[in-house]
Amino acid sequence: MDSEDEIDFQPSWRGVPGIIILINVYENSKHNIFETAHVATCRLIKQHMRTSSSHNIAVCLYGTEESSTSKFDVTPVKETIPLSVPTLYDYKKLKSLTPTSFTEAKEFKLSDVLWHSSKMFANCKKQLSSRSIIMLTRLDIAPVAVDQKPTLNRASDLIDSNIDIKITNISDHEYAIDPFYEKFLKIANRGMDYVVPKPIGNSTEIEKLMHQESHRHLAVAKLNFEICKDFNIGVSVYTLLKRPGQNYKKNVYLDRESNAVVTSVTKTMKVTVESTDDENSQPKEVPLIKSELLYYQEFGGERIEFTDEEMKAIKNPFGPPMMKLLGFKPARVICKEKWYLKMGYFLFPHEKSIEGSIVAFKALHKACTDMEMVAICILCTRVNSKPIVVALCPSVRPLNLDIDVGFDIIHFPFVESVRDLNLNDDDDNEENSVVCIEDAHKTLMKDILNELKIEYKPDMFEDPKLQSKYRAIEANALDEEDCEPFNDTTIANPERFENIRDDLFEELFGPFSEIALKRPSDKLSSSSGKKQKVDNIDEDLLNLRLKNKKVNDYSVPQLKQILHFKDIKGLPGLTGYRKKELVDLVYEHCSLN
Amino acid sequence: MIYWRSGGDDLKNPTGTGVLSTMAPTKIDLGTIIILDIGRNVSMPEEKNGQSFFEKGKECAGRIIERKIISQGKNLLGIILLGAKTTNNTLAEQAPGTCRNIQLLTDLQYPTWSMIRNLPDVPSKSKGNWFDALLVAAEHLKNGVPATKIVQKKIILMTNFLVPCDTEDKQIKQAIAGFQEEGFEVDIIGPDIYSEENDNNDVELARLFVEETKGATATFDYTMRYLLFHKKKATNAIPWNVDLSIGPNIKIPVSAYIRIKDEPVIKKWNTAIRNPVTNTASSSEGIKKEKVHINTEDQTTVAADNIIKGYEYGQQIIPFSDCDKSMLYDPGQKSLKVYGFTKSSNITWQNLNGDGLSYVFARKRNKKAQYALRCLVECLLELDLVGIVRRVYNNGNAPKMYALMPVIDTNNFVCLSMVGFCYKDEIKNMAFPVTNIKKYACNNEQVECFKELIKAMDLTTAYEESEFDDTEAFPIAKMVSPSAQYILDCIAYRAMNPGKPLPQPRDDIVMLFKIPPLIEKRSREVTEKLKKLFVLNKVEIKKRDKKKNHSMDMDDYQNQSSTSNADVTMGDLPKIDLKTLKRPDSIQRIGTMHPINDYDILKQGGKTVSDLATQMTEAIESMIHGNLDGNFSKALDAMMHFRNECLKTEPKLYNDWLKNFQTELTNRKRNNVIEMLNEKKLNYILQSENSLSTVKSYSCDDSQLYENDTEPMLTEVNISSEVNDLFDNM
Repeated sequence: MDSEDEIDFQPSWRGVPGIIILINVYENSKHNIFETAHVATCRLIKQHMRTSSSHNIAVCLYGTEESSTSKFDVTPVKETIPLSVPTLYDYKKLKSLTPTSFTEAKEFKLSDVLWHSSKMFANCKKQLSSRSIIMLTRLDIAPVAVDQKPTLNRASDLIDSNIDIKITNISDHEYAIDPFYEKFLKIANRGMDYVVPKPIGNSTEIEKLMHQESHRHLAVAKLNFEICKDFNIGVSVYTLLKRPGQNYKKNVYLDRESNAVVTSVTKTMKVTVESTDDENSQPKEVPLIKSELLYYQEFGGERIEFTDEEMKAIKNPFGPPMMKLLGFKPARVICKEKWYLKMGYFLFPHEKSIEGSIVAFKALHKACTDMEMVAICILCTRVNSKPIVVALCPSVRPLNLDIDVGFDIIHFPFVESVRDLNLNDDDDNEENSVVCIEDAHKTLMKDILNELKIEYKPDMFEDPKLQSKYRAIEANALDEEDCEPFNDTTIANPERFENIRDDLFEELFGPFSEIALKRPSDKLSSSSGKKQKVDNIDEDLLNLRLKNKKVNDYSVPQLKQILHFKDIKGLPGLTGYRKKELVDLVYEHCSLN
Repeated sequence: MIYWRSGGDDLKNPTGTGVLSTMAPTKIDLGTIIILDIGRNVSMPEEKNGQSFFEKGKECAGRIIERKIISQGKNLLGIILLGAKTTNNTLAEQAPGTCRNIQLLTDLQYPTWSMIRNLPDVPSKSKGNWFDALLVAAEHLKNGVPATKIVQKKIILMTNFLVPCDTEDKQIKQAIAGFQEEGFEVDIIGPDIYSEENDNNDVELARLFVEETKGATATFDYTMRYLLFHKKKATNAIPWNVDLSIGPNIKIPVSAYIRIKDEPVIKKWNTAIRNPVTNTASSSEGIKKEKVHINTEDQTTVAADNIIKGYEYGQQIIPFSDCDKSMLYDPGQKSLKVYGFTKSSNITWQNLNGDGLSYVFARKRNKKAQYALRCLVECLLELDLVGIVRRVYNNGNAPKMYALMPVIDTNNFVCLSMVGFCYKDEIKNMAFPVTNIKKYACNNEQVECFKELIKAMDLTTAYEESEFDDTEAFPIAKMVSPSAQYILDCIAYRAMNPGKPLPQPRDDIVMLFKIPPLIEKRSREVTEKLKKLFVLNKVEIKKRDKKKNHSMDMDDYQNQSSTSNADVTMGDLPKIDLKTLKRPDSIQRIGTMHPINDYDILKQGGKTVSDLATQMTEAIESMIHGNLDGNFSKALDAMMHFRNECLKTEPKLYNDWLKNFQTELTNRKRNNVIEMLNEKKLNYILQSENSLSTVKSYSCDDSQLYENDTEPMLTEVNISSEVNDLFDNM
């Protein structure tokens, strides 16, 4: 991987997100939303522990009678996890909660709960990049009448001090929402139009929603997209996926003896070799200064050298981050099976730099969608990233996420990224184009394909290596009973293949291995992992020399070449053989011809 | 740019012929000999003030050599000067008096920069016979490098054919037959040999050579345009061989080849130490890199074999050795197993996060596998399906999921294209604010206008057909990368101009960012209309943000977090006026973000100066102690505010605090801050200002104190901007 690319993905943030999860347990005995919310929250915390995220997460129950756990003497709140990075202890504590660990309050008050949350944020020692409250609740029981106004006031106070309130409607069925929550939602949504959250009863869905709501939401870049001169719109560039392997980097290294964490530093030293006659003189080592460094490449028999500073200039002389429209092309030109280069970005508008951006963005989106066109742009996301040409392809609900507008940013491969496949040393291709597939064969193939048809969902495969690693750690860190069963989603259930007619397939298409048997030397050379060159040899000369017993005239490499060329069954590896032995081998194997 | 270095004996490249001759037959992809005419016949400019044929030829030859150097192929190159002053070639040696004025300037060898440097600066006064030169070239191609197998052999002839070769037809025919037999290809660069203008007997013969040897011909202009950009080093296609398995019993032998991959043009730079005298790599100094492991608890160095893996989980370190190894995942053998097939539309761009794209072909020479794969490709296309496969690259490697999509490529590749897609664990689950609300609705007219723009800026018709072969601009996978080209440019420039500063990207590269002129022209009207239809207002705070990005100031830290906070929480929702909703008690304490504002609000809430003093002073202290970027205006403003507040009622609060604070500043050696306090007249509140104060005077001049009192705002603004400027300029 290019080092510049690494920098591309370095998040540039300050502070960490702070999240308070509030679980409503008032009248839990009636609706029992606690259980669902509890499972979802436990999973959320677990996931954060797995990824070693730095989110500060607190979990509180409200609508309870106790007061002992709240630092601030707020009666209706039971603080289970304080606002900090969740620890194993916290998790275990949360996990052990049951409906019997709290007493439901006699009357439902919410204002103090919100006040308690704001206190928690105020007392958090960490630098928070965002502050949000996620409420897991039903929306049919309003606080007692006297508490309603204070609650709404508190809510708007929170919003004013940039604390988000996100409400998750937990229920397994639709029901009438208390008018109080309509007011509450309106405040939570900053006075804007709001959508009443749909009831969710599935803990996995709730967990997913909480992940979305607690996501850092960091942009790779925020840019002004230049549609034309003096017509810019504010956009942000995101990655909706992690790159493969990005989940793995949380390993730490420990000292075998003390189990203390070990950090690694690469020391770069300048070593001076004194050209004195004294052989005992030790090379001198001094720390290297960057300006002393030269970068070089061999080209045309010479070393082409650059200083450290020049290297920086060479890497990107094209100026600051930018995004500029170059034109449009029909959407069909970007076909992924031919031109996929690397993970794309996602483009979303924002109003922070230019007001009116969203409207213009949506109009462009609609126009592109209607005409089935993509916008072609030049994009440079960061100061140190290379300018690339991208296609903006209108997308709706990417990865099944609730996103109503946006463009997929698709990398155009440059000619430098495309490799020529010189496969023409065989007649493969010509034959391929002429070949005609028989109907019977096609029918069988189609039967197989249809038999194995599945409905693909982006989240249907879990990384089995990662998942089993998590479980191995958790078996150690948590109680054993806590270990979720491991299911390798990447391997299809063998039963699915029971109905395909592989015997008929073998009969019609096979056997494939025949060739391999005929050419064992192929197998031999590929298994040894070394590419062995076999050039044509002058067979007439060989035969002449065989006849005249003059094989000795060949050089060692030529002898080896002859032996490889002759494709001898069970030929041993030739390294280390003496010339005489090679000559004998040639006589032995080649005389038959 | 190109200069002459005399001599010619030191031309042999150490990696070139010298090594080649000692090795067993080496396979070389391409051997090329350039015959450059430097005789009197090419010395005159063809047009007035234009370049002579010689100059153009030399430039073109230079470009060809440069391109061959940069692409680092298995190519050999030799150069023959036609019409040279001296005669130096094997044929002339064998038969003295023949092949005169033909000089073999460089033997066939790997191309070097000195080949460009050694091209003559001025044409000679002699003349040479181009036909003889071809024979010399052919002889050298055949016998010049023994023990080498050259796959493709080329002779590039650059002459204007003004010197007749005077050769009999029989000889010509013989030569052509010989060339055909040896597989030599003759290319002619320079004159348009098919134009009637140039028609003469020799050009006719030249055409014969080109046609009979399946060669090519082009003018200098065309060639230079074709060679405008560098070609990077090609990577050999290496197959990844595996059986594509469908269920337990169907196994089709296939090979996957990387087709598209994002790779830097220079994969790894070597490093060396600069010799300060010569400014080139030092021969007596080297770089040593050493990885040191340090125990973070006791800061001791730990030997590499004493290090074990561990995991961080819930703020605890769990040593790997404690984990049950039997629970670790076993991915199994190298394999490519079909999981199932799905509608092609289910796999979208957003799902893909693999590194590049591979093409999967049936194994070479396996006709049955080829037939089966072809059948699979056709059926997938007909059913509009794609395969989902689990791939284990090598025994024990982590498995990855791929989409297998049928492709019939422009190169007539009939194969499956393989791209990696994401695991659930890799989906970030990001939430975005809703935009489908009334405020953000766009009207039909606006959409129509964008549609007009799309029509006007259609890149498939970006160029006039008469001008270029292809009318499409920015063709996918055919454009060159500006950054890659620039790096290669720099290498070529440095080689030919050692010691000179590197150039800026040339115009040909900058053009890669530009909208094609025709598109620009076509879109002009529509863009004017767009500007009228949409209301776009720049939000002014932007500038401030930009500056703050570079600071590490505590104050800015807060500020930054509040802005990014807004990013996160408000996302792209419009700002509503929070002040109208604001309640006094929404502020809990005085922060460093808006200390004055916070103070006022809390004061309105009924708090007194003494209640708030500690909070206020804490905020000020943290703003000053934590400040690193030198912009103290906000802290000083807050101090001013606090001083004014204390001035009214309780001067002691301010004076006592200031005393401690100044001591603290002195201890921390923050003399600049103390100076600023003096400058801004933030000293003790004097008895003359408020009788409750116990401080009578201070060393500083106090004559302007009242001014300070009467016009605090004005002073603030002036000084703060000056302070700003001062530090901005640093």
